[in-house]
Amino acid sequence: MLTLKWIFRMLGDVLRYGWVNRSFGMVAVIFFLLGVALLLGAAAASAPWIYTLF
Amino acid sequence: MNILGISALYHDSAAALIRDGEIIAASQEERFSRKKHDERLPAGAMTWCLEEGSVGPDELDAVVFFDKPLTKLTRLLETYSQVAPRGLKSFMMGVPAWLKDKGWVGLQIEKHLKRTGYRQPKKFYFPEHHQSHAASAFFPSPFEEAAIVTADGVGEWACTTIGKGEGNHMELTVEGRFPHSIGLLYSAFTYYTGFKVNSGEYKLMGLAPYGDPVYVDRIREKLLRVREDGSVWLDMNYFGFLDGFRMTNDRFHALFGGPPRRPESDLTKKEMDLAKSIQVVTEDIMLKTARYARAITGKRNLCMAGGVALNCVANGKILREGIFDDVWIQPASGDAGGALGAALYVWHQVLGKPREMKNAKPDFMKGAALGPGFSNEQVKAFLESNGIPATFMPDDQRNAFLAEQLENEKVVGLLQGRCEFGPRALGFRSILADARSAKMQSYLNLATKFRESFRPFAPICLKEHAHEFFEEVHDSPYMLLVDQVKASRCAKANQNEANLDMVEWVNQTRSDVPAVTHVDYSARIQTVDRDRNPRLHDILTAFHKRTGYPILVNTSFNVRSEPIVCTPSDAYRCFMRTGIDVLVLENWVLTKPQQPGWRETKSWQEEFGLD
Repeated sequence: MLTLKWIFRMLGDVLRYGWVNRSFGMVAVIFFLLGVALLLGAAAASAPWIYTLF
Repeated sequence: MNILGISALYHDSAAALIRDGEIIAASQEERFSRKKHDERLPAGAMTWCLEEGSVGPDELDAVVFFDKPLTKLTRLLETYSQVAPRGLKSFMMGVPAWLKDKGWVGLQIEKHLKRTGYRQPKKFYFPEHHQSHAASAFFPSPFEEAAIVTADGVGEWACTTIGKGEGNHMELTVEGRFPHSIGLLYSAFTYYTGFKVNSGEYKLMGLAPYGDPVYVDRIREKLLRVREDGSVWLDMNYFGFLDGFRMTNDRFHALFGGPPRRPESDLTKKEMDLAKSIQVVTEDIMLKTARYARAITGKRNLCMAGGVALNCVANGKILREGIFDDVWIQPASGDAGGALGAALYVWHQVLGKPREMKNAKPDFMKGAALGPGFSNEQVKAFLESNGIPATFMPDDQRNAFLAEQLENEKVVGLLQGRCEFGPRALGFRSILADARSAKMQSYLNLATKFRESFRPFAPICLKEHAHEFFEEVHDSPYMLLVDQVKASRCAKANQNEANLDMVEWVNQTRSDVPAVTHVDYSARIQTVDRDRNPRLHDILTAFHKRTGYPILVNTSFNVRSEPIVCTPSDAYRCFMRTGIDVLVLENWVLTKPQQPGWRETKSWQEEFGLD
């Protein structure tokens, strides 16, 4: 629950940052990096053997 | 209302607790973890602060982290996009570290609070890095209104800021941005002269008086431009920190005639001259910044914080120049102080709560004694459980005994009251010695602290007698100002001093307090007053009564690379490992001959490494 709360807060902060600074390219880059990180995290958590491939 | 401030994940992590605006507790994590400059989440410090403040599980109202991790990520990404394809290696390390840890600091903090039985705080704030520094400088200061200057390596984007504070409100109006940073410039020279970045800067400052400013023109011509407002532009062709792990690059090395000095190798005249040169440049920039701050704010007083504000030589010059009527510097000026600043920022700036100016004298910092303390009963329990022989002495008897021991050139380890918050030992966790002894500097460096022989020692002096020993600085409670020893007390220097071996050079007698007189006749002063530290005042008074000198050597109670001691156990271990003759644990006094043998399981070098 706590993790979900902070994931949503992060997403909100990134969007707010992009809007306030008119920096939508940066938002796209951060979302891409976060996506990769979450994918790796999920892979590591759900099937640790996949992680060894990296 | 309880607010917990936290700084972490870069260096010197710390936690601070304020209640209704009053500072209740603050400590660096290193005091608990025993890892110098510990950068990890300050779990020990957070837990201790909440316990010290008797904060119940649902009584924590807000948590404040001292900077904005997301904005730091955008700085990393923008920087890499500018230097790509260079910097791929550091990108591959820096960005994953952010995605894994730094970006989720809020989650880590809340998880820790949950583990220790606390409910989620009602609010979680992230002020900017330099807002935290500025708040740590202005809100605890004694000034109703003041100009504010902050300077360090880098926060999110800002490296230097100027602003003003009035009542319970502050505003930062001028900002110098990354990578053009006076802090990073100083760190580049720290790296090049073979010291550790974010830790060895004060060594470089201590080395400067041995050198001549022969590289000043080269630095000004090639490395940077300094404008009249104190802002700097660095020529990034000479620096390596944008696209790599090194502060300097080959072009920088070619400019100064060779590769960086290898750590722990012999210091040469070149390093001394470089130290002096960058010190001169830094002082010039800080003086210009201070003048500009005065001009645009119109305020008569100045508050400072940020790592650069620990450059006490520059601070002393700002004070002596008379740009401001008075200067107040946050004793925990580095990132640790950001924890306190962040909490105060939320209380005053975000929530609009007033400052109680009737309590403003001498300031709101409580003498920086904000860390853990131990009662005589706790000390007794420690001594008894470990079978350590000691004698209990009431204050008067203890102080008279210490004065006698100090007069006999004995070295005293002192643990009394609460630990200091910040990098300086201010008489709560200190090693004391006789400043009149000609051999003391060398003895303390080599036999007690096991550190480099060139390192100077600072004096503590009764405030009411400071004018008898120092030219202009007569109030420096947090050891953040350097001034000259009074000319009337100084002896003429040996003409051939520069040709002497370093140890002989250090050991030349330059005044009637040689152990605290640096080679340029300067001293980093701490004045002691009854308001902030009455028990240290009493020790100095006893020594004054006995010898006619109200002044002693004061150095941090640790060995090289060790965090300053915190507990009686830390203090006892340091006492037994080193040349300290007498240990004071509150009112319990221990002497070395009285002690049973000490069996060392591993050396301090193995335990702490080299800084």
